[in-house]
Amino acid sequence: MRHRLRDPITGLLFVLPMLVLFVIFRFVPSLGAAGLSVTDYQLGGSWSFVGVTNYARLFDDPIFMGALRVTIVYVAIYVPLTLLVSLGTALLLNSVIFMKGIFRSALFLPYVTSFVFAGVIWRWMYEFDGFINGLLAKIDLGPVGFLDDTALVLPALATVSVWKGFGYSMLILLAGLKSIPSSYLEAARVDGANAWQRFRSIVLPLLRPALFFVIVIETIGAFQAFDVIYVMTGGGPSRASYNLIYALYDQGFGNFNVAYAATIGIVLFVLVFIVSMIQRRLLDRSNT
Amino acid sequence: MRKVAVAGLAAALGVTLAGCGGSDGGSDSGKSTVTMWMYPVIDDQAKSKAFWDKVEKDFEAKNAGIDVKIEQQPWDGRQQKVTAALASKKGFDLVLLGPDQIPQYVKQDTVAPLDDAIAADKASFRPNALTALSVDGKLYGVPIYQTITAPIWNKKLLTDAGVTEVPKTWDEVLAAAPKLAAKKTPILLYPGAPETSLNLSFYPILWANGGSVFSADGKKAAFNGPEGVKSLQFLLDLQKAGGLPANAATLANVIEGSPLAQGKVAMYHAAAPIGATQLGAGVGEENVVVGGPIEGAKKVAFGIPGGVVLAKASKVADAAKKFAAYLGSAEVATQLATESGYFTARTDASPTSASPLAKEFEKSLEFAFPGDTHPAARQVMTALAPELQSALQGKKTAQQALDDAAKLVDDQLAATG
Repeated sequence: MRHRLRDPITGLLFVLPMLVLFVIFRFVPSLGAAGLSVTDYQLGGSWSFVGVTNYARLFDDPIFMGALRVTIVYVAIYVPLTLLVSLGTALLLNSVIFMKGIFRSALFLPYVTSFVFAGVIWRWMYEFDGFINGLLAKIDLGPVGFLDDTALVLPALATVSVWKGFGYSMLILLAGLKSIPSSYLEAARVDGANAWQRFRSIVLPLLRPALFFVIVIETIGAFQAFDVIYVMTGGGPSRASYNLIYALYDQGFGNFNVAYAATIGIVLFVLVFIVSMIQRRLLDRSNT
Repeated sequence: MRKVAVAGLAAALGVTLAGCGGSDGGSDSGKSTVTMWMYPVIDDQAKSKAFWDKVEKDFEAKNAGIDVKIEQQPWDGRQQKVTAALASKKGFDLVLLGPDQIPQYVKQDTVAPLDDAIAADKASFRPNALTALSVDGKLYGVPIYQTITAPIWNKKLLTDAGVTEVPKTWDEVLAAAPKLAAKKTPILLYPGAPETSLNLSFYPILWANGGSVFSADGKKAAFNGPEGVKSLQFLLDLQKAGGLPANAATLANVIEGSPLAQGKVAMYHAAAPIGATQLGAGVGEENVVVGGPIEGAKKVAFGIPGGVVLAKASKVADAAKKFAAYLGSAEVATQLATESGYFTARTDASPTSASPLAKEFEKSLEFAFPGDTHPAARQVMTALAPELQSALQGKKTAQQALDDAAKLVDDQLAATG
């Protein structure tokens, strides 16, 4: 019986439903997008092959280059911030003794709220007469235009995304922390290692697989940020939060340049792929 | 065990794949099913549902072979959803669209003309409503209502600042701004957020100053001409005089809960009748004044007919045309105008119980302008809005911002032909 369940065909059958869905809804559309990017397809159905024209156009397009810059800056702000918050909360939860479940649920709660809902709430919080400026006014500061200032809008949006999304990474890291045998830490403590040394030399190396997973999925997620920008700024002010996904959306559904939108999608895919490979090289050495 | 696992998984897979299928609608047991996407033209959800349920039943009672399904959709994301539905040839037979949306779909050949649907009744519609919904002489939308915008003022704020007359021209608005600014009250709620339609923010000022969005041949942008620069410079001057809220560049044109409804801003220049009601709820009805279109070189009020448009891919086009004609009839138009607070697009029907505020809006109907209808009208807004934001944030001059946007638009128009 055990032997049969380990049979590769049985295994394949178990993953088959997901595999079929993946092929239909992810793989085939991706191939379709790659195909579209070398055409001048119009929504009416007419198209002709244009080679790399769309790709060449990208590099002369100031809006695309701006969106690329915004995307990279957003990723650079979001990923370290979310890592810090999720690791911090995971470490805190790991050391909490009472009411663990309540704390864990409370911290996970933002993750299961809708992004649109979170965006609307945070928009109120950031407004000139909103909650945060109300607090700042009490100490004679502000008002600060969090979503009106081109320099502040990306950190402000990244904060919302971190608040919304850190719960998931926190749980992954918490599971990673739980899997570290307590005997290692006890032995280190007996040997006189302080808290930082235990974290630096035992926890962090053993947490590496979980960290690698979190960094990769959070980076991919950051490259694909859309909902929060759509709800809170519409890409503004002055395109300061206009990222690649927003450009793709505008080109596809606003300007009907479906082929050009697909080209942006392919470039984004290549970008995410390269960054993920670099991360794999740098972070996952010990696991491969 | 293995057989059980295989059978179970096969069943699961079958269910999963069944979910991927779709339905094409069309005929079912000899009946033609017409699906229409309608939007919250009637703001009150309960009233809206009751109204459209009645329309559906009344029409079906008179047309036994036709089953009508009216699906309520949100205004948000309308352009994207309609585009996707038309491209995939699924979703609706009829849809409610504005005049600036129709040319793009005509260009894509995804919508069909409706001249024959109202051929017998054509003379009863307002001519400018029919013109607005036509492309190359063919009617693509049956007008079912007419909107109009007008400036709404908080009279109390004007009086408190010593402004005795409601400004009637943009020059008078600029002259009154410092008096209100002295009371820390911006005069104009300018909604500069990129998601706000420019038809309700920048364009009314541009049109009043005699400008237009596109050149006469529609091949180039024209908003960066002298009239456009004058219009944007006016906003920048107004801003300098303390006449705009500090966050004007990112404000949306939602009246409810806005600084206008909170009594912190004096006026919004392109409000719909519902906006006047919402302002009244915020600052007291007695303080609301509905003005005429603010004059520059001319008087222009943005107002559009709502048109019911037929998808070219509809398999029940004849039944859909019948229903579209019914929606445009005097009977339905009167009821819709009464319930929605809009106006009828017909000369032989008007709402039965218009409020005093609505009657003030009605006066602007003669200045109704449906906007620059062009296949790229919506795309131009995407390019122009961020540049207007840049000017309002002091990053570009009026001329620079408009020239930069014009370059983007010209490149886009050249690329898409």
